[in-house]
Amino acid sequence: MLETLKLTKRFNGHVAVNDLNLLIKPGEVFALLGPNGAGKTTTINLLLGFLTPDAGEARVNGASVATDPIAARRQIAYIPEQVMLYPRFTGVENLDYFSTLGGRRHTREELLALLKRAGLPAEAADRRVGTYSKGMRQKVGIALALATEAKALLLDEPTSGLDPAASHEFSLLLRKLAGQGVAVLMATHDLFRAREDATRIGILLDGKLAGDYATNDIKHVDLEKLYLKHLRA
Amino acid sequence: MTSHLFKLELRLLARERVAWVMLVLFAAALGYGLWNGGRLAGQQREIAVAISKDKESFHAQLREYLGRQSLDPKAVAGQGTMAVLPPAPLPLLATGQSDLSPGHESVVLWKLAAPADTRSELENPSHLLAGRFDFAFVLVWLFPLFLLAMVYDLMAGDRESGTLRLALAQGVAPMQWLLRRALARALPILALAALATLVAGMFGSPGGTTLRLTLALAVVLAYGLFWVALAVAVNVVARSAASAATSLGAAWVLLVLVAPTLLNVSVETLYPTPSRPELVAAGRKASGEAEKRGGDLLNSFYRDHPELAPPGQQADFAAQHLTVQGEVGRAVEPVRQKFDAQLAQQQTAVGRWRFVSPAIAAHEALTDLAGTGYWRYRAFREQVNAFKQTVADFYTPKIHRREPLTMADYERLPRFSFREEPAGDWLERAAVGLAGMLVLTGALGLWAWRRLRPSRLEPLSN
Repeated sequence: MLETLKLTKRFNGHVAVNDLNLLIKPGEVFALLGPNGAGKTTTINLLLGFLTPDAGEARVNGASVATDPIAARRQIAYIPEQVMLYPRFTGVENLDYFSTLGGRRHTREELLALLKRAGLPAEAADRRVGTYSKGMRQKVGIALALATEAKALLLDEPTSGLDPAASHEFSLLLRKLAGQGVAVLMATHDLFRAREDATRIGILLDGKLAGDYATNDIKHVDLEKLYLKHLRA
Repeated sequence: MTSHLFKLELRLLARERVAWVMLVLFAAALGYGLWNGGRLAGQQREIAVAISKDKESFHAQLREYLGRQSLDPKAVAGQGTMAVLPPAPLPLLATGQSDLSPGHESVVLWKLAAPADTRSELENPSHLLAGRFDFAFVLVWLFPLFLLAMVYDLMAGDRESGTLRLALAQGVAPMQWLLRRALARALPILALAALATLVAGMFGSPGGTTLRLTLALAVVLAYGLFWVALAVAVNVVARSAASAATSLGAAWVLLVLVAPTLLNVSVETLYPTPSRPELVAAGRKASGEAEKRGGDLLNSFYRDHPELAPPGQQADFAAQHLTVQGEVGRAVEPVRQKFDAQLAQQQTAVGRWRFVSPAIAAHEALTDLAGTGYWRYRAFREQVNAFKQTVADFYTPKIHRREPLTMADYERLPRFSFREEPAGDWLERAAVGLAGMLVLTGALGLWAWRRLRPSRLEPLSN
């Protein structure tokens, strides 16, 4: 479960996240839409404890990010827009390294199976990451999310730059994870993916949640129009 | 978990070609430093052995002569005797003062007032000026550079590339992650330095030096850990690998090049030593004046010591020379004492201020433990000066009384034997140096730890 309570963050007087209240339950996929600078990435950074809030609190599965940061982070899997890995390590070595950092040790067979589940071709697993495409690195990131067995998943523009097939594979995995009870927060500009994957859609403007819709309730609404309506309001 | 991550960090390091180049270069520098130190130690050992053989041969001949007949003490005293500093306990570890200060001195009754510090063997003056490329040079000057080449980019590069965000997002404690990486990356260089220190201790050492070697090993590792801690601290604040490298390079210049020079200049300014020419000139002046008054001095000496006056008080040349020499010695003594006192004050000041740079502390500790430092050479000089007095006390009365040297005197002939400094003295100095370096390392580590608390990731992650 991901939770923010009156979460506020200012940068040099500019309010990036303003009194934000969010509750993402296990199994929910919450797509956070908003223009550049709306505060989407800042919200994710606050949930990861990478930023210290000026007010309010962020919690992951009940653990306060401010007071129990390690416990909070250990329940999170995070996939940034660009999954940056060690280019001198192979895919399997990168997965081994980062998952062990998170306190989970896997055998080589388990790591290979995780990479396979994430959609990475078997022949690529033992190749150095320096030769990987962005999509392949993203898949290592997904494998890492699977390896950590996290209760919450934070995604920052996860499908940006992925080809449609890779994007589709990613969606399938995301739904599978949600089906296993993972709470997902996905910051994105991709309205199509948001409608396809999310169970709830939030529109963030100037750090405030301007709209919060259950995807089922807006099934017949043009999401682009709704989004633009909020922007122009 | 920790050991597995440690192995992965080592594997990551092993994939960097530059790491292998650094290891090979460092090994070569250590090897050359050891070989160079070993060559000098070998030369000095050969000199000591040759002198010892000469002394044995001289004493055997003397014993044989005295067995047959008595001898003129002037003739035996004129042969002189060699005061030799035994080979240093760990000579390969540091050349120290051994290429500047003489490790032996010929003590001749007629030249007791002459300045002692003159070398008999030839040495290239440029070598003396620049210092030797010895093991201590490699450890104090180059070891930090090789170490920094391995650890300059502990976290700054990850911060730049974005891998740091992914690593921190896994819920690892940042300081734990940083320390593990720092130790893994420093391990090959630290291990090589430790191994070379053991080699330095095992070869060319006369034995019984386990405690010195253990402390030397601790000093080398503490010095290395200081630089690792500095790299950790710099990486906490550096925003890129390039800025971390620049900062650490500047720190090396400051701590290894600038600070020792500044300290040297400061102690020279605060406690200036009388120049050696001044010492020599004082001796010559006193000698000239005393020779002019030689007859008067001898008469005055016999007036003070009538028991030594020969029958009829006929002064001969030798007696007059000894009296003149005594006068010269007394005239030169204040200058010599001032020289030694200023040197001691300089060294005390260096000891007090050595922690302005761990490079100074490490060098002082290593030369001290090697037995080539200031204090052992000072002890040698002091013991030689005392021995000169023993020689004078033994021969002078006989020459004045014109007593022959007999077999009964043989066992009482002055013989120099160097008494090593009590272990507690060098142990204390080295332990204080070691403790100082550990305190500096701990302070850097504590600062980094405070900056890297898991709840304060903001400075790291943007």
